[in-house]
Amino acid sequence: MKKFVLFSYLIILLVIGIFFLGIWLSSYQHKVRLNLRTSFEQQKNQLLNEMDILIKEEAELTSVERIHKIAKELDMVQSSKPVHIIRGD
Amino acid sequence: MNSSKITRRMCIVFVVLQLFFGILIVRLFLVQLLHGETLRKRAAAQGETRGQPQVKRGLICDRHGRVLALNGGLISVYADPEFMISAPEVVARKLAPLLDKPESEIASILHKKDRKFVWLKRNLQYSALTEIHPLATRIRGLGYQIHGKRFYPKGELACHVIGNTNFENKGIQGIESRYNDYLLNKNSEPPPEKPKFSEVVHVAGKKQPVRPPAFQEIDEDSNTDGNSVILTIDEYIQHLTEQALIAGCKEWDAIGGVAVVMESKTGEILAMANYPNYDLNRYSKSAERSKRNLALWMRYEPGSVFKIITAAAAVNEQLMTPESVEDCEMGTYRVPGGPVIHDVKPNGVLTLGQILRKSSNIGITKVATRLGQEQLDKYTRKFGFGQKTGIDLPYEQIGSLYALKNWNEYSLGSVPFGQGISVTPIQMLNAMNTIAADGLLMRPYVTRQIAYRDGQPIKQFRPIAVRRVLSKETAKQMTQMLVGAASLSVKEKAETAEAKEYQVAGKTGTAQKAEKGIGYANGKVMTTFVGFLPAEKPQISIIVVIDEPRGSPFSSKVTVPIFKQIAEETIRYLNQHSVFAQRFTSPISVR
Repeated sequence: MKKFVLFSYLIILLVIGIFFLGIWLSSYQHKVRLNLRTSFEQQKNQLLNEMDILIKEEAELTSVERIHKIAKELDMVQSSKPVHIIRGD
Repeated sequence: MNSSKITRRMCIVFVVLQLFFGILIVRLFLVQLLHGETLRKRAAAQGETRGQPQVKRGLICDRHGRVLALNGGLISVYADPEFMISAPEVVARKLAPLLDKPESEIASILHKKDRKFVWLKRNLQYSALTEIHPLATRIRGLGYQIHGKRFYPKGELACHVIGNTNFENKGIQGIESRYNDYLLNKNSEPPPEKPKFSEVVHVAGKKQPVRPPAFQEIDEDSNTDGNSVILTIDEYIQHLTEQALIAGCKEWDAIGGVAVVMESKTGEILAMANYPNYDLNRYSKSAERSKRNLALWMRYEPGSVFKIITAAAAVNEQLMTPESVEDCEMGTYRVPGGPVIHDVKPNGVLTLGQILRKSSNIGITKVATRLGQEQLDKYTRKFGFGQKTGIDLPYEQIGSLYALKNWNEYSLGSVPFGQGISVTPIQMLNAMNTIAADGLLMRPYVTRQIAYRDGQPIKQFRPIAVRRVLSKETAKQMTQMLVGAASLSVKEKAETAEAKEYQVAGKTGTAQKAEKGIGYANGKVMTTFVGFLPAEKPQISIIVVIDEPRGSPFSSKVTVPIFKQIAEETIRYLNQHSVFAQRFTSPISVR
């Protein structure tokens, strides 16, 4: 009788333990998922923002005003011939 | 106590325990397995903030896809002192180097426990997020918000066309205002209402302050990028037009000026410059006067340039030919029952072409007498005066046709040569362009295309002919007369001998400025030159208007050199580059 009671208690505790383990695993998984998502979102936003900064810098560097200023400093003259634009990209 | 009694009691305890565990197991079974999925979703929903992400305003580019306006990310850090558990001094020590703010200042803010929401630092560079984010996660009552800020990499370039946004990221002027919905991609569903910062919500059973979510859960297919607007403006032509106008206005100490370059056949605006202008990145610090787009907003008496309209109407109605003559009364003439009008120099009998060339007020008044009030009124309206041109920019004025509406004998002595009515520079340019476009009144426009961020077009804009105003023959005759009137040719700026020369068809105008309660003010004039070139096959139409040049000189001295500079540079540029080649075909990729 005693053995049976002990055994049944062990079974019950095991089942309860499994259920609690499930709950713990589920909440841990949720936490990890949130952290990962936050981290990836942050990286994505950072990259997008860096891209915008690069676009802005490119626009500033290629502005006609800046190019004119540099050309003037270098005593360059304008050509009357058709322009052939050679791009590296 | 006998053993049977103990056994019975143990049995009862055992059964109660069994029941308790049984219920627990059933409950756990329900929570974990039966309702597991639903509850997991509910838990996720409680722990996360779901919301509409802030839409990034789209790009504004010139006709070649060169970026004129874009969005950049900034972060602002805030605190909720009431909810903060950590010691203010400790938090302040950690934040001070990141926020570039004295430790004591931050600590004093955090000590105010009665405050629910306070900004610690606004508009920090986005790169600071790497260090701010872990702190905000660890420290309760500390948070940050990511928000967009508009950048204008070209500074003052085309400032009146591009316009500005306010602190709510809403366009308030120029293209930013006109295409605000497209730039914000408002085709998608409107964002749900967000709780206010001062409100408190219960998250997962705990009372927590509302903080703007740093990283919201965003649906994968939701589009956070606004659409791009591609203008008809050419950065190079815009730059040279602005330079020429600013130099001219400074030379003549003028209070304002306008220069607009339009493609003759289509009405596409290639450049729109105003003086004074302002730096788009310093909008709030710029003078209010400099923010007005005078090309659409300034109403002024056009003066002699309006003689074109009177002459064109007479020719189109076949009342006169370029060779028809009028007696110009040697410089002084009394309009029957009306005022006495004068010419600058005395003239005898002149042909219509000569009337335009010598800009005779008397001659054109006699032409208007032949035409009659009704026809003059009809043609003035047909040329687009007294109504908006329909350009896709906000705050366009319509001008005033007061002297035409209230016609009397004094109107005949003023309206034919551009007094008693007011027009805007864009109306005047568009009217002149009608002659360049073989008699068709075009609708001017500054936007070529609206596209998704990847370049796929949403909307393409095409030239619109509003109406036929003149016959082709009249337009040709007017062009010939205006070539004579302008007596101007521009040479392609080139170092080589084969530089081409282009005839300009145009007209000058110098009008005295009227002031309230005074009438025509002494020493204050508006000078205009409007024309197109090459006269034989028009490519571009240009207007230059200078407000109050010092010493009130004639327009030929003030506006013609500016016009010439713009025209020479533009025509050289157009010959070198295939500016109009890509029209209405493939979308322009802005990335």
